[in-house]
Amino acid sequence: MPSANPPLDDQLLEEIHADQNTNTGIENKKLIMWLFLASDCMFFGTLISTHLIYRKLYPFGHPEEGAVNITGTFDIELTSFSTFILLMSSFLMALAVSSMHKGAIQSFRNYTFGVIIFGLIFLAGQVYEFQHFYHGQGWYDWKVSSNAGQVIVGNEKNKLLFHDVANTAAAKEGFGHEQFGLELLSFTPAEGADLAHPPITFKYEVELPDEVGNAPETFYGEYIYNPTDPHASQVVVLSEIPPPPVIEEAKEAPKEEASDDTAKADSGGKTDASEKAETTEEAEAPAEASETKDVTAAQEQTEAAEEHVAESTEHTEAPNEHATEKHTEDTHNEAHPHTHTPAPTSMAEVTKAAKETFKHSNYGFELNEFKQVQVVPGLDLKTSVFGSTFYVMTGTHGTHVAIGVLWLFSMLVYSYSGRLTPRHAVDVEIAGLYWHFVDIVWIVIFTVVYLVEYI
Amino acid sequence: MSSATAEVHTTHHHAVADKTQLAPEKSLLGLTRPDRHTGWIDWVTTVDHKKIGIMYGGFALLFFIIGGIEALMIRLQLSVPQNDLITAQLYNQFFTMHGTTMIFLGVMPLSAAFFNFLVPLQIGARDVAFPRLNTFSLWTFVAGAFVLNISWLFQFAHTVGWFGQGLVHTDMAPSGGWFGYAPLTGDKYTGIGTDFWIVGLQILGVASLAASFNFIVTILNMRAPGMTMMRLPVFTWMTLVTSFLIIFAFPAITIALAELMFDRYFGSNFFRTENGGQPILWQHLFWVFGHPEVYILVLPAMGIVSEILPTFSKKPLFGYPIIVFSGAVIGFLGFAVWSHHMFTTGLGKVATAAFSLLTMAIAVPTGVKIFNWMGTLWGGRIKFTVPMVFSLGFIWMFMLGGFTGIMHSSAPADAQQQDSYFVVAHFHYVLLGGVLLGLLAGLYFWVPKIFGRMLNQKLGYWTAFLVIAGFNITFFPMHYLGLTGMPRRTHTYLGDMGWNLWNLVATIGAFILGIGVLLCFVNIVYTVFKGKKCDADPWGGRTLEWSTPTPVPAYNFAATPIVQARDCFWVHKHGDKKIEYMPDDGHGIHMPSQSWFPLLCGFGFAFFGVSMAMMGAGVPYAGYCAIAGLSAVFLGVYLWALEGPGGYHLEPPHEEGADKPHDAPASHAAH
Ligand code: HEM
Ligand SMILES: [Cu+2]
Repeated sequence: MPSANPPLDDQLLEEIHADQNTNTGIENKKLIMWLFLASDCMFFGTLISTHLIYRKLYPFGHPEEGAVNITGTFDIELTSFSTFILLMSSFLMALAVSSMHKGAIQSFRNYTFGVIIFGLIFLAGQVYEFQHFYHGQGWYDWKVSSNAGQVIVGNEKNKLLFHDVANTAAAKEGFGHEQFGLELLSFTPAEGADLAHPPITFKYEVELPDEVGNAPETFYGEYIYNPTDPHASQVVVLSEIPPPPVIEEAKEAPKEEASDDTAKADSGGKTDASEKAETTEEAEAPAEASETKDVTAAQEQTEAAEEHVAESTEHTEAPNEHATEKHTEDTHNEAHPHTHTPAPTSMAEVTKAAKETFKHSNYGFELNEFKQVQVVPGLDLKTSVFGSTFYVMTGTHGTHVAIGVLWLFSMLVYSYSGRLTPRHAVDVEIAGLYWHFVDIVWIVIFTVVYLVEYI
Repeated sequence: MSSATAEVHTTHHHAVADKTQLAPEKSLLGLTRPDRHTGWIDWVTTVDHKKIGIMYGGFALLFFIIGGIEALMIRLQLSVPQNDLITAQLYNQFFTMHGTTMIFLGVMPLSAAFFNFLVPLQIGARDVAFPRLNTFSLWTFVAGAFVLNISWLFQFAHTVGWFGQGLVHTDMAPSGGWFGYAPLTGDKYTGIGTDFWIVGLQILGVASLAASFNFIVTILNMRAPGMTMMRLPVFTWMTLVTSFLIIFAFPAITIALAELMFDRYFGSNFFRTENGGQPILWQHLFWVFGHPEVYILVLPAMGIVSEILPTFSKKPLFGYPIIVFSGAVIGFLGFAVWSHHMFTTGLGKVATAAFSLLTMAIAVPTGVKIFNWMGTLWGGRIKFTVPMVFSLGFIWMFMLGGFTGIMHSSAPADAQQQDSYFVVAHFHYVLLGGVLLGLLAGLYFWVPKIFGRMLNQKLGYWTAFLVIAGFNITFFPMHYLGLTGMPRRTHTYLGDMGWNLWNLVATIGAFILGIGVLLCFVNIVYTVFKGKKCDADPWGGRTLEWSTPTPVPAYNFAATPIVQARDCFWVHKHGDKKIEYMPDDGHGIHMPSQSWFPLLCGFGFAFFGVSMAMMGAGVPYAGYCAIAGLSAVFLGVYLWALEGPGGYHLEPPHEEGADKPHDAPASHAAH
């Protein structure tokens, strides 16, 4: 680590000399950065005005109501956090600049490292936010059951990124990929399990997703694994799963079978029921759209829910009666073509393979019902004016941050290679000016684009 | 210290300078830093503001010719009623490219040529503040110009059936007008011509911004000792104001273009009317840029004229502070009048009245300048040299354009004139009668300094006569055509409208004008290579650039001058306050090294631009090519930052026994 300053060479002397002699007393580099920032103010000014003009013109963020749900889309806690982080990065930046002026190169490195990390956190927040906004949010009622009849119903408000989508089909697929939120806690060979005598029995314990209405937090069972033909393995749910609760889970009957991608919902959004819902069982159910907060609507819903529950009880009766019995089920069609699996050699290996097939069989459950009850439509460039102005503006800002991070990263690297020394304090100062500016612009965007939506 | 000092430095320029390398040149990306000072590598990698200025000028003249040919095609088509010489679509492409070319590739680069060549010389600096950034501006400009004009090749390829047969829109060259009104320029109505236009203008915007930052820093920071702001030559002042206008006005159009680009490429809704996009937003953003832009065009010409008039009246400029101040006021007010281009869109009574008044107000500082120029002429010993004739033409023609401008500052009158040939007459009087005459005056004035050869004066008078006469024959009748209702941007007209005669006259005038301009360019090209040699100060100049030897050495000034008065060279020659020189600091003159990377950025931009248009046409992998192009630009900028300014030392030639610059009294070094 070069910490001692190399002696000044001619060229540097010349530069320093030249800069000190400017008519204004401000170094050329610094002056040009100020000018650039002045111009950049106009860039952002134009973008922000475009956004605000359209925002004022279209109270719904779009000529039609329902294309966007702005406060529903925003995640103000996250953005506030990002804003705070960026603000703190500016603080670190100021410290980095002043350490460089003092010649304390090691603290310059530390602070700059901090700025870079904070910048990256901000960028990660923005990427996350964009993803999140783009996919929208959906709330779904769902029901999964084992073939033998145990039923779990739930209200999927999953916070996982890829579930969190307005599009029912995509959400459903994501839900399936995540094993309906079921989490395998333990998976061990049962007592007396023997490699030589397949099928082998494993004991398992599974955790249910948080917001599930009816089930215990965990349940357990046995998995009877067939190493030569994994598809023929069987799941036995041993624990008792109580019947689904009667009222809380009910929302409303679905209106229609939805298949197109663009979810359209009322702009009110937060409590509105979706017009689009999907269900596998209740396609003929009466179509009605109502607001849950509305009293009469709530009553209607209760009725609808009772119907719904009555129906589901039929399905759930069996498991309740025979909960203590062993229920076996075939995870897959028996006639499924066999894949030839090489003979397993150790128990650990078999456990691993069994666990994998067990997972792929969704721990023995199947999705029966998946319907949207509430939606915040995804925000993209195309579907709304708000989306267009929002992404282009914040994206431009994000690009600025990314360039700043790259710049500081280069400086950090060159401070180690010896190219950047305390005599280049002015270079650091310029990067600092840029960084502070980008930060200030964000404060403005955060205020006039995010916060004003909440007043 | 006597005038002998100046002698020394004006006579011994031809001695071979002694070049010593300062730091070992690093090689990045296998590109060794070019240190050739001859041949084409020198030209493409040069960081010398004078060479850059010459290249800007060369490109500008080339594009003036291209834009001129487009104009003549327009006039040919309109010469007789119901003409079918060219199709309506081609006609649209011609007027769009004509306007875009003249403004962005003709006038602005020619102004930039003067900025580059003159500003460092006029302020007594050895170069601009950021020499490589200057090279970057040049090649970025060339890239933007290339992207715009290559669209003609695609149009040709399309016409003969080689390209884009499956596309819905068949305009491969821009056809949406120089102000590209959205949603007309959206993907619903125009084809990849608009993509070329958008990307081309954005690239040109980068060039203009970079150049402006550079010139502002140069003018604010690099003035020679004693060259206070109120001693700056007016041309330099106008460069400063223009540069400020550019850095504040260009962002608006850059963002508008970016928004339009997102609409076209990614389906956003900025100007998509079916989804709530507002055409009026484009108009506002465009004219917030557009009106300052007309002052960006005219202020440099005003600066040039302000240099020429006093020189040939043998009087100092009348009311220097007022000329400077009115230029700055024009700059400010220029941002407050844009909506006068939109009176007929229904802005509302209050807005219309306000913009009407502000527009009338902006004529005041303009008028002040004209009176100052007249005051300069008053009582002077006027010499009607060629630059002087052009300058006088400038005042007169520009004033006529100003009059019609005031006419349409009145909203009710403008409701009649908007989009008619009356507006065409107005802006050609200000742009051609004003700006171009000013720039031609500048060429006749400074070419002898730039190349050390005198332009043929006889040919010059002929040029002035043909240009001014041809110009009036072309554009004066357009006032009448406009007032009798001939709409602008119409590719033909019926024979019974009463417009036949004046259209024919205008076409004839256009050819006279064309011959005049061509004669001028021939004169320049001939002079550059074969013209009569002249000395360093052929006109009896007033400002510092005339104190340097001709051709100007790479380091401009062997020793930095110390300025003691406004019009310092004039005072030096005829008055008591002589120019002094900074003492020699003993280690030669530090010169910046040349660089490949600005050129790399230029290539990157050109590749990016064409790829973007190809992406618009649906050519496979064009998107990746666009990313590659942009990456090349970033790489270029990054490597150029890494490579550092570099540098070497030049020893200016010394005359034994003569006064050395370093015996300038040290006390003079302070302002
Ligand atoms: C006395 C000062 C001036 C006034 C009051 C003035 C006023 C106007 C007005 C009101 C218009 C809009 C006409 C319409 O579209 O209906 C206009 C158009 C125009 N002016 Fe001026 N102007 C002035 C000076 C200039 C100068 C100095 C230039 C350029 C060097 C210029 C260039 C233009 C151009 C290019 C247009 C047409 C833009 C287009 O529609 O394509 N004007 N002027
Ligand atoms: Cu205007």
